[in-house]
Amino acid sequence: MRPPKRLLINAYLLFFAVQANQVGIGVLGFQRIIAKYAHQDAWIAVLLAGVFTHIVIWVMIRTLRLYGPTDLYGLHHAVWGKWIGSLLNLFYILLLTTPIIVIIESYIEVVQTWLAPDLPSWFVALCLLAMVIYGVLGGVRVIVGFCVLSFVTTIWMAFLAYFPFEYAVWSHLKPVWETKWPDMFQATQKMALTLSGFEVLFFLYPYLREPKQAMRYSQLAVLVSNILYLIAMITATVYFSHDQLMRNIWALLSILKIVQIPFLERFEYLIIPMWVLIILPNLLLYMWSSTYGMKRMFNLKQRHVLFVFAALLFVGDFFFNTRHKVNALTDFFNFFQLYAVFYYPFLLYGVALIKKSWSARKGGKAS
Amino acid sequence: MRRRHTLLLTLVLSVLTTGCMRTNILEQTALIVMAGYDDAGKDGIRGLALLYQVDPRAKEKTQVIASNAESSKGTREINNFGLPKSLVSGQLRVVLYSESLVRQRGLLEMADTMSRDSNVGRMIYVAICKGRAEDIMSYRYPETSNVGTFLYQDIRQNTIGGKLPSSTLHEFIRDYYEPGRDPVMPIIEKRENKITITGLALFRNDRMVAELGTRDGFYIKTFRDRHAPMNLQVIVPNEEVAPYFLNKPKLDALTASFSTLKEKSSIRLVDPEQLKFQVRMDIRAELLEVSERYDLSDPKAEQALAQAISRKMSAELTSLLKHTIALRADAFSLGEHYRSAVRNSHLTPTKWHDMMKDAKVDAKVNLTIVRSGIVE
Repeated sequence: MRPPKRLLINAYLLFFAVQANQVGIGVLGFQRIIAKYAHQDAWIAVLLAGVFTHIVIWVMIRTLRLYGPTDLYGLHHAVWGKWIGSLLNLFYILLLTTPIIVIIESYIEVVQTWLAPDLPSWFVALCLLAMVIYGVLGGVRVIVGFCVLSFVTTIWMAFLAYFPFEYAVWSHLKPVWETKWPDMFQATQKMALTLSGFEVLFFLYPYLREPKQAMRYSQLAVLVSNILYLIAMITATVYFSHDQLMRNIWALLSILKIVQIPFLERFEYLIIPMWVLIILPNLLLYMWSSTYGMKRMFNLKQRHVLFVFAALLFVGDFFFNTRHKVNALTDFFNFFQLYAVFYYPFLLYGVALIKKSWSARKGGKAS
Repeated sequence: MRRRHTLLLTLVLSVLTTGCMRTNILEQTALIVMAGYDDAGKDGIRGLALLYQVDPRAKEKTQVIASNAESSKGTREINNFGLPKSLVSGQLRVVLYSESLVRQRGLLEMADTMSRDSNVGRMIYVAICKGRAEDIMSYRYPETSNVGTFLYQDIRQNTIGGKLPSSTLHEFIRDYYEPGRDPVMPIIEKRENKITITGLALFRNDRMVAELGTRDGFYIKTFRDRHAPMNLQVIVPNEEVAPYFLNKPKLDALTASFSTLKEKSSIRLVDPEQLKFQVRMDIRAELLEVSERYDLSDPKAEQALAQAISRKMSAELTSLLKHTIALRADAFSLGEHYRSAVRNSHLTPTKWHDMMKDAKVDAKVNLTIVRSGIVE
């Protein structure tokens, strides 16, 4: 089933959607987690995980192409049948809503630690959710438009890496490849949460005006994200000594703290509010794809689902009020994300291929 | 219609909530420009803060407050009780630790608290002071009404343009946690009624172990951080350059000063088993001054002088390296070079400080005089 023509988007917009959804709150602090396992070779882990993401994207688009313009919800039904398919869909919807709460909670924590300790959490959550409701009501075209806006207004931050290079100790990167394979594998897996976000491809695919070009633009998007992550990782490695990095929860913010311009002593006062522009596309796309899933499965009105979800998430925010709880949620989420987003597409592709050739043979016999 | 309502709601929300953040009104806050810590014996630490008043009617623009407590944050809380304004640390520029405190207690905890506070910048300077920090901070200097800013600019200009190794809070913490590198800090002293930088403090972990002259900053800075051209004065014995004097030398040693145009420095681990390091410095210099009348138009004379300076500097560098090795205070980051060259060394600060005493160095300086000013 293809959405009406007036709702379609150009394929190149997929680049912005995928890229904006990949880069999010994780960039602020992923360096520490990767370096914990891979030490000075952390950048290799980032590179390996990045290459793996390119492969996953390739598999995802091959799968989507098998069944024409459809999304993951349709694919599940076609591949697994009605019952298992619906179950998997429900699971995926749940998986798409958890990042929303993880992102909101992490952002609240950043705001409270760095800017305003006495700003109430519920207030930040309310503001963010209000914006999310507003955006999702606008539909796919508005959301993708915002992704473009987010990309152009925040990509300049990559150049801020210039400042810490003044204090760089390049020998921190040596000796290259000292890490053992099991540790490297661990570190690569820990990139899952940071790299994820490209699964939005599964849901935006039917909206593309030229689905053939999806591969090109989504691969390009992942490439740009990978380069950004690589810059962030190398910067943190050369700027901090290893044990010091282990103690900095938000390595990126700690680094950007050294940027001083005469009229703005503390640069994070600019960066953290700007970060809303980076996390908002994530929130919008996740919220949209999960509510859209509910609409497709139960024939509910997307608007109603949206309000219910937003209310649930708002209430959920009250339960995750300490760093340990947020961390536990993040770890839990990272685990599922790894399997559902990075490994599952391979299984899906395999089964879809078998099923397709099987039904083709059966169809051939019947005629 | 509904969409317009939502838009209106968002707008109203964003306008009404702009006052929600906590405000820091300049006139109602006491800006800490400089902090100091003294040893208070049984009472723990004596914490000092130099405040800058934004008050046009105030006679004294700065004020020093002090109190004793077990921890550095504790002193701040006590200090807050005696003030009509609330203390804020966003403008903190320099932190002084008194020498006795750092030699006995180390300063990691104090620096760590500071780095935990998101209000405090990472580029503030940390320094050691001779005597009590209180005496330095509460004295009224004739040159300046705000000793905090004065000292900040003093350290800053000497770090950027001079030969003072950079010692920001970030670098202190980085070097402390780095297995193969120890921090270096400037030493501040009050002499008569003037405040100046008089030396460098060498550290092992977070304890000060020795003091060096400011001149050694030239060598340490070369191997530690980025630097602008630096000036150095070198004294060479007369006999090494004797044939090229234009008249009979007045003193028995020749003083030459030069400015470095380009410097290349390297530390290479030659033998990991024996811990042998090869230390090299290549300097292209502009000669600024020679204390005697010297024949600089003769290329041979120039070369002889360059060689004499190189020999002298090699000897100085070697003895400085040996001194730091004997003290087990790795200001030159030999350990970092070891770690990055030897696989699976699993170096820790303790391990390196233990290994370091066996390190051997072969240091050489090679100076080339590129030009000697605008006259020949």
